[in-house]
Amino acid sequence: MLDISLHILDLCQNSINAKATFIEIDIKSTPVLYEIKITDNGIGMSGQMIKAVRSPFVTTSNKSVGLGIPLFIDSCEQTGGVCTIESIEGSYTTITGTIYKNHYDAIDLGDIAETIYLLFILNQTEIVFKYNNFEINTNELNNLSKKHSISNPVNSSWIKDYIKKNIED
Amino acid sequence: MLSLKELKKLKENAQPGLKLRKYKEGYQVVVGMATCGISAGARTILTKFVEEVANKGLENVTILQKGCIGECALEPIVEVIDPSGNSTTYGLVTPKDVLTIIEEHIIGGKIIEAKTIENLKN
Repeated sequence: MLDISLHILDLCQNSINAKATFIEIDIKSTPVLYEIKITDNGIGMSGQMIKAVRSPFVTTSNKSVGLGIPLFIDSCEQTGGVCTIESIEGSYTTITGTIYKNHYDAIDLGDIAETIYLLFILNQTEIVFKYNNFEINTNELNNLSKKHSISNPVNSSWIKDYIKKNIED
Repeated sequence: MLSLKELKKLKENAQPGLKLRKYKEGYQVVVGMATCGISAGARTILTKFVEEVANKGLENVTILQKGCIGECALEPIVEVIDPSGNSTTYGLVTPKDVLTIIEEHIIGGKIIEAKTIENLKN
C-alpha cells in the first residue's frame, strides 16, 4: 500500500464484508505520530481468529491469502509503531495502528478525502469520520436533504473538497 | 426480543428493496476493491467512474464494488454488466481506459476486446 488512506479503504472493506452497519474511522495526528482507529459493529472475531488473522495466510474468503491486515501491521511496525486488534464475536471489532511520522519508513496519510468520499457515497453503512477535532458522518449528510441523497455523485462531489479543507488546518 | 409478527413485518418492508436490486435496469459497473485492487490503484479508477458518470449525467449506470476474483496480477479489474445481463471483465484498467469504457462500451455498446482479461492473459 502506498499510503495510509488506502489502508483505511481496505480495512473498511473488511468491516463491510463483516456485515457492519456502523463504522467509525478515527485519526489522531500529532507532530510525532498518526493513530488510526477503525471500529465496526460487524460479526466480530473469536480470540483464536484475532491471533490468526495477523498471518497473511489466514482469510475468511475462499482464497488462500488475506493480505489486508498483515500489510497494515507491517506499515505500523516498520516505523516502530504497534497494531492491535480487539474484538468480541457478534459485537464489535476495533483495529488500532500507530505510525511514527519521522521514521524513515513511514508512509504518508495520502488522499484521505477521496477514501472517505468513496466510502460515504458507495455504501449503505453508517460511517463516522473523525480527524483530530473534525467530525463528519453519513447520517448528518443524509439528513441535510432528504431529496438529494448523497449516493448520487452529482449532489455529493462537494464532500471531498469539504473534508480536504477541514483536515488541512 | 422480536416477536414473529414483528419479524414478518420487517421482512415485508425489506422485500421491495431486494426486488429493486435484483431487477436493476441499465448498466452495472463493478470495480474490484479488495487488497490487491486497492494497492494496484483501484481507488483512482472508482473515483474516475463516479465522476465521469456524474459529469455525463448517465442515469442508467450503477457503480458497485466487489472483492477479489483471483486475478490479482490483472488488477485493477472492472466488470461491466449490460442491461441483458452479459458481463465483460476488463483488466489492467488505467484512468484513461475509464473514459474509453464509458464512451465505447456503456454509451456505444461495443466491447473493447483488447482490454478483456481473457485477451490479456493470452
